[in-house]
Amino acid sequence: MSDTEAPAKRQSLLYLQLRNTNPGSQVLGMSLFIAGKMVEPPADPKDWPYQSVLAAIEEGWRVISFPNLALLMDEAVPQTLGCEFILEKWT
Amino acid sequence: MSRRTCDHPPTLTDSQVLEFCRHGFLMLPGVVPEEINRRAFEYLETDTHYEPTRILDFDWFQDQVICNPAAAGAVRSLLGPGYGLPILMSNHRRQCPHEGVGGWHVDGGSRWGPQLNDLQVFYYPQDTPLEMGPTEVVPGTHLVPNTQRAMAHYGRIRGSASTAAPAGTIFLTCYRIWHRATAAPGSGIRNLLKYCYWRNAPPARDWVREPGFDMARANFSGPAAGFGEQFHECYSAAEMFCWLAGQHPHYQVTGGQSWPLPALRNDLPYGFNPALATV
Repeated sequence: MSDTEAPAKRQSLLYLQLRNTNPGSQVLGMSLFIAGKMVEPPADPKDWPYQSVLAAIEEGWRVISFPNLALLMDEAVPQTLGCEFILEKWT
Repeated sequence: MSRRTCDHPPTLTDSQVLEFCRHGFLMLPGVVPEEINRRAFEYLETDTHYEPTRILDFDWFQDQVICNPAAAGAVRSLLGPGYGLPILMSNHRRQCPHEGVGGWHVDGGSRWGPQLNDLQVFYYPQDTPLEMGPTEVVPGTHLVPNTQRAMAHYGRIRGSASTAAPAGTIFLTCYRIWHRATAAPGSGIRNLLKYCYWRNAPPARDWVREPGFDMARANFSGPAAGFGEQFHECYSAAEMFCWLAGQHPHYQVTGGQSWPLPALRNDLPYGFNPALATV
């Protein structure tokens, strides 16, 4: 890399599991991967950096995967944790 | 080989069994005497294998840990008479400090449904505050099917609970509850013994009967309510309670606002099977 060349950007991932498919709904779970490492959010949900997908979008995250509705069609059998959105950011 | 059992009477009441159905685990803080905790810790200094099964050979361990009155009474309440004792011991032994956080998982072999044919039980022989990396569980998730492979990327989960506890704590879990190891910034050795008890009798409501307990009006709502469709956890907890009471054939859900949805009604809820009231 020359002195004038910008460092390569790296992808960060943010998984947000929400109460329903509305991107403004409550976050049930959160995981964050920055620079190849999992970064543990604070223990108290009140301190999580984002309280919804919309809040993360406001901070520059881009949604790359929406909840799979096929997994939500059997109301008698909940599968996994809420409705999962996956977001990315290049920094 | 003749397998032993414990003959302690059941100790859990209707409400406590229901609480187990709703949450999927039960903490028994500090129930093992300090002298036994010390002996267990010292033994585990000499047997650092991840399966120190030979600790089961000692009468002091059988009497005070495996057949600990508080634990055995709870196990008897949930698994019925003549339940099978552990024949395998595991130790999640950790040298602290330890930075890594374990991934969320359900243990291999998890089977989903209302049945409870075994209990996975844990014992801390030493004080295990947050700094010593206690196991973290998500209450109510024994009712939320998932797989190891599909949950390894989970991080923080709303409503998760630490099992941080003093020495001598035993906690009972439904095998399929979601759990993980946590970071341990403290110092020293942290042992976490893990073992299973096994049902040998058909389920029956032969735990401690509670005067006034009313299955028609009991609150079956649980802590993992937001994880699935509204009220799903009420159905699942009620079905598990009926299964444990030996009344699974009488369990029914007619839908709408019928039993077992929580509500302030002025009469018996529609949909409640009268056969359950006579158990």
